[in-house]
Amino acid sequence: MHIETPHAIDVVASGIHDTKNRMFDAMARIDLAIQTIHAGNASESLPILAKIEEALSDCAERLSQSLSAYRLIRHENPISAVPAHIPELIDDIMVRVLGGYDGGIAIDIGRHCEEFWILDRELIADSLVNAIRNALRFAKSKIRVSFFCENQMLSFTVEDDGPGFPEVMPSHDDGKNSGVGLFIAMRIAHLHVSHGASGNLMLGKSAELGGAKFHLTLPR
Amino acid sequence: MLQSDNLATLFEDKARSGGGNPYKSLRYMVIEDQEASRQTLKICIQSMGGFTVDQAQAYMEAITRIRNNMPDVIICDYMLGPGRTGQQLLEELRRTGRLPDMVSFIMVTAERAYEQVVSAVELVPDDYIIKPFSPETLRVRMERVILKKIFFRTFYELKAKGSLDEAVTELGRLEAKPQANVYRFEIMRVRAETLTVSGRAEEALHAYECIVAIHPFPWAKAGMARAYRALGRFDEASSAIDEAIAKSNDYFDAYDIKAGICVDQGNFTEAQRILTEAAARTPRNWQRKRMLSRAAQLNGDHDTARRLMEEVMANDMVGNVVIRDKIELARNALQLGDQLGARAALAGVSTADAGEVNSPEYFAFSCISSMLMDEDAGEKQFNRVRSDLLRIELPIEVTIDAIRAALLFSDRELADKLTEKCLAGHNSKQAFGSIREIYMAHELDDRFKKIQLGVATRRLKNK
Repeated sequence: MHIETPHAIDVVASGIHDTKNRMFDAMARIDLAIQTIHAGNASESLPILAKIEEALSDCAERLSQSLSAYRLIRHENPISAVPAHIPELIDDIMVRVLGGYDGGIAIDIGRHCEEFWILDRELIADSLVNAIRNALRFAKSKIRVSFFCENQMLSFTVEDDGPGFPEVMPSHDDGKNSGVGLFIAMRIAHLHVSHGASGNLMLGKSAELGGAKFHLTLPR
Repeated sequence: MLQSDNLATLFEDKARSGGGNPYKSLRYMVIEDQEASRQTLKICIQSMGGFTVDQAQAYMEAITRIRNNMPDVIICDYMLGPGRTGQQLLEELRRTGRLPDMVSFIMVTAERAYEQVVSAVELVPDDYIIKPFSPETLRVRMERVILKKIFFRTFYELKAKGSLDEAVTELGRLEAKPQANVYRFEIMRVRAETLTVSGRAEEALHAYECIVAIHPFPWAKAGMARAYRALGRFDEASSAIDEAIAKSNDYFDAYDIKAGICVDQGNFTEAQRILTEAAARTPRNWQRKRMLSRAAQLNGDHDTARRLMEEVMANDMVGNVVIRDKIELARNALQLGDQLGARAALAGVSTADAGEVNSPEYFAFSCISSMLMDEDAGEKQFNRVRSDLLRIELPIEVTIDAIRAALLFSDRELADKLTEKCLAGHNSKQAFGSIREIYMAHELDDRFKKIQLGVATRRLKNK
């Protein structure tokens, strides 16, 4: 699938817009928590506070993403290459994904790479966390995360059994996804260049699960 | 500090069998200037089972606490208030030998740019975590770091004992272990570093070349530059360090190496310029200011050299004012003809304070202080070390002190022999200007030229 490159500045704007909405959500919950405590039901405010924490953490992540996107647009953020042991990277990603996940969708993980790779650990992890969270959001019952190394390329694939990617990718906030994550994934893939080869991001339809397929490749 | 065997037992036995909480017995230190974040990290550690959590909110407090009560795990925030970072703290602790390899150091930061630091520099934490993160992320990363410490423990012990060759051999043994795949890159890195420290420059160069073949990390390029420098291949050293700086403009250690190469090549003006630029961007790096003072001294800019040493001695609360600094300040004052200033710099220091007999500090102090006494007492003091000066290999600046003293006490034969040794050695370019200045001050220009000619003739013959 062709990824339509959104107008760069729109990506940042939509990320900020997205964050603003999440902050309104957090503020509303803070009001609710205060009212609950005033009503003498302090213990009932605990799950509300947990949701507030989740919303604010989400805001911080979205702002970080927007900042990363801004730096990529300004070419101020060359990749920070560090050696990463791929199984450990996947463990880190799954810890982040499962931390805010309340179940319901089966997650199948296929591990086919035990190697080290030189990559921008944080931005690649952010991109994959974002891809997996999107898959969990849209999947009906199942997602699959797999990674393997072959022919000097490392591949990460995230598939789901949801409705698949829309024909035209969002270039602005559609209420669910600002597109910042995909923008970063695409840019960061292309910035991973090694021995004449560069990384790539392909979006398409999952042959096995029928939904969306996110396929990120990085050269050795 | 928890003994490595206990750590291994905790993690390999108790944790694996579920027979105990492996985090309970560890001692933690949280370094964070923001009260709320500090408490959050503390709660995070306690939720894992951690019990003893020391806290520090500022740079100097952290150093004092670490010195007084070494933790097993340090969790440090990158931003530590105005002008101070966790990276500076880490570098300071490692450089002053105050952070044993077995202690885990994890940096936490909200600054994405920190990853660029980690990808460029040599001294890195065991791991770093970008905020916001969950307690589970901290636990996973901490366990990983501790398991790494256990894997490398024999290597660390050998390194700490100074058995560097054995430590390198140990890395070969570790490579054959089944878990080695997880630590493959770390093994490559520490091998290159250990070979460098042990003076095995050819092997260190090869080790860094292997890393650069995988990826041209600035720190690996800097490692190559160090190895080239040790091998006397200055042009290649210069190219390698230029590549490191081009890749990471903020990699300040690379500027130090570049300045060192300039000094080796006798280009003191450039060395001073490079270090001035780097020091301006790292105003609290006192070690760099010491280097700058030395470069200024070699460059004949004695006022700057002296001013910098005074600044270092007034401000370096971590390295403390060491005898070496006092000697350096006295040396600067002497070069400016300020006997009173030199005396003030060494006030209260005795030969016994100056370091072990036969140490460079011992010889430097003996020579410099002898020049500050009245003639008889001075000569008596100089006589105590006179016979050893040719026998022992001394740093270039100490040899120059000895030449200065020898000429003052009219021992021209000793001065000439030391001068000849200096000019024939690898560091002749560093020594040339200073020694010539001393001979000129004694109106012995012709004598100096004769020595210079003799050394040059012998060099040509050998070629």
